[in-house]
Amino acid sequence: MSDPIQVSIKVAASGLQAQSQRLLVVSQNLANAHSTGNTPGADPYARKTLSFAAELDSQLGAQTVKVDAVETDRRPFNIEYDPSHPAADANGNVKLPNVDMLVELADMREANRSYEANLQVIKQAKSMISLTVDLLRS
Amino acid sequence: MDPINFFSVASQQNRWLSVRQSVVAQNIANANTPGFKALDVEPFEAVLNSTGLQLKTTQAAHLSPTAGAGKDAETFEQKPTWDVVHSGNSVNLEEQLLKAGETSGLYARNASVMKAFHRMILASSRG
Repeated sequence: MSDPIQVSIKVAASGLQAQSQRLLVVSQNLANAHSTGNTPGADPYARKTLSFAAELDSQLGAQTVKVDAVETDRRPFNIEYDPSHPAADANGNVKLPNVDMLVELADMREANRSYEANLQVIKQAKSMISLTVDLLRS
Repeated sequence: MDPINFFSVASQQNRWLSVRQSVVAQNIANANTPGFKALDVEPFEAVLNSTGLQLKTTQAAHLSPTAGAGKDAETFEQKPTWDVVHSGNSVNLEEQLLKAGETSGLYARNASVMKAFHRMILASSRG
């Protein structure tokens, strides 16, 4: 029977890990928001998506979170008419990445908020441990 | 009330509070997991009543389980009280943080009452 406070710290740590993976994906999408191909008609950068899954950690007896799968967004690419671009096809159309800045920023905010919530849990668990230890100090 | 009994109840409640804190931690960690249903623990009264049923020691050779050695509180899926988002996740961060704050507040209160009792015992034993 493991100590529930230690368990909560470990569970929150898995949350921190998962949320930072999510931030990594967001940063990749934002950095590549304008990465096109460099041969005529080539596909540009495809937006990456990430999903989470709950995983029962049998040693802790608690549900931690893990990154389930990093996939590419199946949304069609944005098309722009720019015949001078190296990636323009025969009609002068260039495929641009299907990254939407607004969506990425919203995702980043949510990851940030969830990360903060997990940090708060760790802080509280630590203060609970120190309260218990303080019982010996009177 | 017998102070010794008080210590056992207080440590039982602290155990229950830390189980509750770990359940809140699971909910918060899975706040963005599709299909995850928020968990909750049974109330403290239920734990207290279930551990109250103990075998009576009628002979000196009988072993009695120490107080507080009962099983931990059961967890169950919480009824979606606030909102369920499109992905089927029923965790609400505000609600969970509220609960975490309440839990650690109660824990602090319990610990300081225990400390006060401990001081009392020490004062009387020092004379």
